[in-house]
Amino acid sequence: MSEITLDQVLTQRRDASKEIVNVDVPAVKLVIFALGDQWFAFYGERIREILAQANVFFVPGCPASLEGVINVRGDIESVMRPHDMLRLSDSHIGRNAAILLGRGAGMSSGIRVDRVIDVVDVPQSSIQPPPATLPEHLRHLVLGVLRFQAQPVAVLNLDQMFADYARGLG
Amino acid sequence: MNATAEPDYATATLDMVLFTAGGWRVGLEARHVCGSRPALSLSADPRSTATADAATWFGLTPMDEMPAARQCLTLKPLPPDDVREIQVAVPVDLVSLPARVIHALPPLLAARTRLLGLRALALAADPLGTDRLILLFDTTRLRACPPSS
Repeated sequence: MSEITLDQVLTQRRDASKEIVNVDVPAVKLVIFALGDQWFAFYGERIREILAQANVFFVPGCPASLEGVINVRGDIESVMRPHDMLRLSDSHIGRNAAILLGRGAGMSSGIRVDRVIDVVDVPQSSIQPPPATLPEHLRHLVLGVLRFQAQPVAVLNLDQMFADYARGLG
Repeated sequence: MNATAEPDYATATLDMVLFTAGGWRVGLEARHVCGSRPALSLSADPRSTATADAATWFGLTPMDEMPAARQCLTLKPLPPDDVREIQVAVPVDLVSLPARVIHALPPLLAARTRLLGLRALALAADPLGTDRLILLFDTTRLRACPPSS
C-alpha cells in the first residue's frame, strides 16, 4: 500500500508550480548569417524575406558591390553585396548563398549573404554593447554583439548600411 | 465637364522604341523618336547634328562586337533647333510595353548608377519565355551632355 494519496501528489504538484516565477524576458528575433567565416545578424523586423535562390539580372554602370536586380513576385529589388562596406574579402557565391530582403532608411534592397545560419529569438539582454576594440569602419554599423553557438555575432544597423551605401560608401 | 480619366495601369501600355546599344537591349519612349533611317544614308533634316553612337552617349561599355547593320534614330528636337541623331544596332522595334513590366530604379541602384540617362528597367519575356532586362533611358536627361561623334 502506498504511503501517500493521490490528493497529496496533486497538492504537491500544485504547490511546486506556484514556486515557479514567470518572468517575461524581452526577446528579439535575429536573422544570423555568415559573410566568409564571420557571423553577423540583422534584427528580424528589418528582414521581410529570405530568398534561397534568385535569378540576378546584372545592370551595367553600377559598382561591383551592386550585384544587380531580382524579380520578386513582379517587383524589382536591387541586390547589394555588403562585403566591401564591411571590408571583408569578397567570396565566390557558393551554393548556400542567399539573399535577405531588407528594409532600412526608407529603402528596401536584397543583401547577398554567404550562408544563413539561423533565425532565432534571443533575450535582449544577451546582446551586449559594441566593444571599444571594434575596428573603426564597423563602429557606426554595429548595434551590438552576442555569442551564438559559441561564435561571436555582430548585430548590424541596416538603416545605417543602406544610408551609407546610397551615399556612395561600399 | 468631363474629368480626365485615370489610366488603368494594370492594362496600360507605353509605346517604346527598342534597339541594341553596347550589347544591351535599350528602350526610348516612342514620343521622343521622330525618325529612323539606315546608318549609311544621309539625314533628311538640315538641322541635324553629327550622329553619335548611342552606347557611348548612354555610357554603356560595349559588350561585344557591333553587328554590321546599324540604324540612325532621330530624336525629337528639344529645343526646336536641337536635332540629335544616335546610331544604334538593329533590330529596332516599335513595341507597346505593358506598364506592369516597367519598374522604377530601386533606390540603391538609382543612387549608385553612373548612367545618367537610365530612368527605369523593364523585364519582358523573350520569344522563348525567358525574362530579359531592358534598360529604359530618358534622353532629356542626357541633353546636357552633348554626344560626341
